[in-house]
Amino acid sequence: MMHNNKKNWILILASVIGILILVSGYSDLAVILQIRQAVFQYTGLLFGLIIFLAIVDYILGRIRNLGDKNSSFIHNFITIAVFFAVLIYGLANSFEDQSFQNTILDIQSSVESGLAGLICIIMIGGLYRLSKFRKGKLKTFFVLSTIVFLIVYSGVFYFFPQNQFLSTVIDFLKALPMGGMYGLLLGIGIGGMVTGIRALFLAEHPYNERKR
Amino acid sequence: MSSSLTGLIIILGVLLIYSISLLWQKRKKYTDLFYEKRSAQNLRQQIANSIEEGLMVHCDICNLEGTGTFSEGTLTAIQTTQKLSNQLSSADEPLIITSNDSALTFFSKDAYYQGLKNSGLANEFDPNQSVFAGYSPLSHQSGITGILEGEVSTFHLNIGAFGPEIALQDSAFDPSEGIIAAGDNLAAQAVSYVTADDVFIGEKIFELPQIIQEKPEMDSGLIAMDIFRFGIIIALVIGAALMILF
Repeated sequence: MMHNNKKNWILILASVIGILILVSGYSDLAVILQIRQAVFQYTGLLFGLIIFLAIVDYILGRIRNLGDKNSSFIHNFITIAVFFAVLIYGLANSFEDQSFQNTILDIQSSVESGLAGLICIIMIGGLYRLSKFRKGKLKTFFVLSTIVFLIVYSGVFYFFPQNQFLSTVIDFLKALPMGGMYGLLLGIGIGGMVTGIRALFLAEHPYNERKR
Repeated sequence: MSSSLTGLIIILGVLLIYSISLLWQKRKKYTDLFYEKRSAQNLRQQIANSIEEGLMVHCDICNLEGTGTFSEGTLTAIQTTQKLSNQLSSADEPLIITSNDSALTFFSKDAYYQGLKNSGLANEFDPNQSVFAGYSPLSHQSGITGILEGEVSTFHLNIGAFGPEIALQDSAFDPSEGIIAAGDNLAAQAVSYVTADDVFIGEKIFELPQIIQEKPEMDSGLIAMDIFRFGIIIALVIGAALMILF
């Protein structure tokens, strides 16, 4: 009971701070702006501490898993070895050291370039499978629109003689994705706002299951 | 003053509709306003299948790279993790969570624990079920592939700010494993349409924590979101008609 009361007080405090930050967007009062600044500074410090703890927790987890038969020994060993190699190298040389940054960037970019190429191949294969195996009105529209936009943006129409009707149709097609984009952004806006309000006014949050 | 008055009016409007939804949420006529989506039914079906078949469920949470803050999508992802953990607490195979942010791994671990605790199975908690898998978008996807090597999942639920690199999952996992994408990145949503089995777009992402439970129509937030959705559609249609007429 006492634990629940304590938890409720923390939640109320969190909610009040949240509402205060929201109000600070619509107020010029120096006190509110100072409180906001203090809250942001404290959050930054807290976040840094959490990240530090998370890194320690992660490495301890990998070390623990070294002896676990169900866990990949190679994956855990390489992770630990790379972590300590980077840590020792980073402590010996400064992080701003150009050769240190170049080494990390070279390894990362060589792997990522290969993966980016793979995405392109997967997309082509995915479109083929989508058109052949996954039926449905929306999926059909998606494949059709991909084909239409590939043709529209290929520049093939520049070889045809100027036509008012064709130009109007192409301009309309080019404006269509913007409409879709605004629709998605509106949806994300509505969802984000309702989620924010639910969290602020304690209707729903990750650490307190609401009874139905 | 940094924010606009229109923004304040919209926030107050959402608050008002949400309050009305809270008051009327148990009235039959009001709950009928809820629009059940097929993707939501499919997701519940997939969760039931995973319990029945004794297979694992993988949930991936992505935060915006290098921002240092959590987006609303990430908050939704943590809530979903907790509810999934709660639902799968009695399953043979535990839920596995991966994320692209060390702090997020920490929070998702806690959400996973809270989910188990709510079903009275806190002793089943394994801290190794929430894993950090790569920081940059592409290394994150390759990290997931390494972590899940040799494992079979019923489905992979991707939530948050992932990008077009989600396509890599299509070749990384067995075709029998479902890929569900719920991201707030526009390019990722288009790519997911080609490579994923189910896609949650726009406001549907924020419905995830509620729709994986039974009776989502009883949730006041979902009804408030539906009222807003249809309100905006009607307003856009009227606006377009008025623009044509005048």
